[in-house]
Amino acid sequence: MDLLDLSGQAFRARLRRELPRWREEGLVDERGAAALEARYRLGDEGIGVATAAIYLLGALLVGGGVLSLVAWNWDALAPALKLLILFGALAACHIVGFRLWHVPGRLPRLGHALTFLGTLVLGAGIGLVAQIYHISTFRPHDALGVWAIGALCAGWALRSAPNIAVAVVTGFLWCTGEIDAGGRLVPFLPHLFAALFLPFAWRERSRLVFFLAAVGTVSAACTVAGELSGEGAAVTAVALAFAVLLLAFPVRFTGIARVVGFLLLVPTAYLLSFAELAEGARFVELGGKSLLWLAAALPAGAAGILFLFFFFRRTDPIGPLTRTALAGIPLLLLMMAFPDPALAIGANLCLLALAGAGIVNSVSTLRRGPFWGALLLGGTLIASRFFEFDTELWLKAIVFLVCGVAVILVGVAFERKVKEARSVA
Amino acid sequence: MRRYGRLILVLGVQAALLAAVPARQIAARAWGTPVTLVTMPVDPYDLLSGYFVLLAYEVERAAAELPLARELEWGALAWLELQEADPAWTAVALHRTKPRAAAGRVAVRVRWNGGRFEIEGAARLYLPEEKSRRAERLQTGERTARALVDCRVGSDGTVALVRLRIGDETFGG
Repeated sequence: MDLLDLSGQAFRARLRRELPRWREEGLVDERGAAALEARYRLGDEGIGVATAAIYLLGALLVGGGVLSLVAWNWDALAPALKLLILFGALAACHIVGFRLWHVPGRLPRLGHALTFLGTLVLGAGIGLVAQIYHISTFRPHDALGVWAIGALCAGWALRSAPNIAVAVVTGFLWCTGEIDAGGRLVPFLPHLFAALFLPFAWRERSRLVFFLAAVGTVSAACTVAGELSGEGAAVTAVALAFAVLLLAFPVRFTGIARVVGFLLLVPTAYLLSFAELAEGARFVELGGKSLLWLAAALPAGAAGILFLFFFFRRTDPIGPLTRTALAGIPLLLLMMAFPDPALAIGANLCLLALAGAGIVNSVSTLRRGPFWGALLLGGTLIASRFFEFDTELWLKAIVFLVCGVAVILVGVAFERKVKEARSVA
Repeated sequence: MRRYGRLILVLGVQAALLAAVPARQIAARAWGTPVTLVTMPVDPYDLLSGYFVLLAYEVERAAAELPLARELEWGALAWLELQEADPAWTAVALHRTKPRAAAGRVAVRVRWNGGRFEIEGAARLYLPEEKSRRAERLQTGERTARALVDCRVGSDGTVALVRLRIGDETFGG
C-alpha cells in the first residue's frame, strides 16, 4: 500500500462515491461490489495525502531527534546499553506501528509511518553499531546493502511501499558501490534489482515503486554496461533497449513506463545529436571488448519487441508520439553501425520528429504539457546546433528570430484553441 | 496470529541484520587474544578525520620490510604474524595463508596497498569530536607522547579495537 499514492487516493475516493450508484443501476452485483471494496480497501477512510506526508516527515524528524539525543551523550554509555537502546527503538517502532496500523479503529497511517521509522532506525543503527565496535572493514556500500535487505523484508512482509522505496534507494546505492568494486555479480545486478522490486510494484499496484524500480534498473544497467565495456556505445545500446521496453510496456503501468521511457530516450538522443559524442558511441568502438554488457541489453530489447508485436491485450493503445519514439530507436541503433556523422544526423532527425509529433499530437488532444515540452525540445535542438557549429552571426540572428516568432505564433494559436475548447465544454 | 507472523518476521530479520554487523567484533572482544600495538600518525595533518581517529601501526611499516611483501600484488590479502613483546607486540613474519597458532603469537589479516600494509578492521577508532582533537594534540603537539592501541584478536584474525592510550590518557573502550 502506498502511504503517499496520489493517483490511488483519487481513484479510491471516486470509486467509493461511484460504487453505490453502480450497485443501484445493476452494473455490479453485491459480490462484485464487495470484491472491489476489498481490493481497493474502500473501507479505509483516507485522511488525505497531506496528513500522510506529515506523518512521514514527522517520523523522519522524530528518528533524527532521538538519534541525536542518544549521540549527544553516546560516549558515556556502555556498549551493552547502546545496543539495548538501538534494539529497543527498532522493536518499539515496529510493534507500536504494527498495532496502530492493523488494529481496527486505531491510526493506520501513523502506524505505517512508525514501521517506516523502524526501517530508518535500522539504517542509523547499522552506522552506530559500526561506530560502537570501531568496524572499519565494513565498506560504506555494504552497510547500505544490509539496510536494503532489512527494508526489503519490511516492504514485502508488511506490504509497505515507503519501506520498499527505502530498499530501492539503498539497494541502488549498494549496486553502484558493488559495480565500482568490480564484484562477480556485476553483470547481473540490473536483473537482481528488477526481480526484487518490480514484482512488489505489480502486486501492490504501486506507481511510486514501479517508477523507482524502473529508474534504478535502467541506471544500474547503463552503469554496468559502461563499467564492463568502457565504451559509450554499450551504454547507448542498453539505454535504447530499455527505452523500447518501457515505451512498449503493455499493461498496468503504461503511463509511468512511457514517462520513464521518454526520460531515457530524449536525453540519450540529445547527447548523440552532438557530433563529438556520437563519434564515441558507434558499434565499431566495441571491437574486442567484453560482451557481458549484453546480459542486460538483450533481455530488455527482446521483451520490448515481444510487448510491441505480440501483446495484443493492451490497456492503453500506443499513440502517435510513442510510435514516433519507437520508430526512432531502430534508426539510432542502425546509425550506430555507420560511419560518422550518420549517428549524429539520425539523433537530430529523431528528436525533430519527436518534437513535431509532440506538437501535432497535443494540438489534437489539447494537452498543454506535451505541447510546450515538444516546443522546448525543438528550440533546444536548434539552439544546440548553432552553438555546436561555428556559423556566421547574421545566420544565427535570422534563425533565432524566426524560431522566436514561430514559438510565439504557434503558442498563442495553441492557447487560443485550448481556451475555445474549454469554453465550448 | 498469521498477521503477527509478518511483524515477527520483519523484527527478526532486521534485528538479526543489526546483530550480524558487529558479531565478529563482539566475539573477538569476548574470546580474542589481548594485543597491544604501537600506533603512529599516517600524516601529522591527516591523523584525525571527523569523529574518528585514523590509525596506522608500526607493525604495518615493519611488515613492508618482510620478504613476502615484494611478491604481493596491489590489494592482496596476507597474514601478519605478531609476537608478544613489551610494551607492544612486534611483526615477525608474513604469510599467504593463516599460520598455525603458537604460544605468544597471533595472526592478523593485512592488505597490501602498494606503499604499505593495512591491518584489516583496525584503521578507525571512533571518538567524540572533543576527544579526537585532544588525542591529536597529544600526538602531534610539542610534547609528543607514545600512542598504544589495545585490541583483541579473534581466532579468525578479526581485530576488535578496545582503546587508545597516549601517555597517561585513555580514549575509547
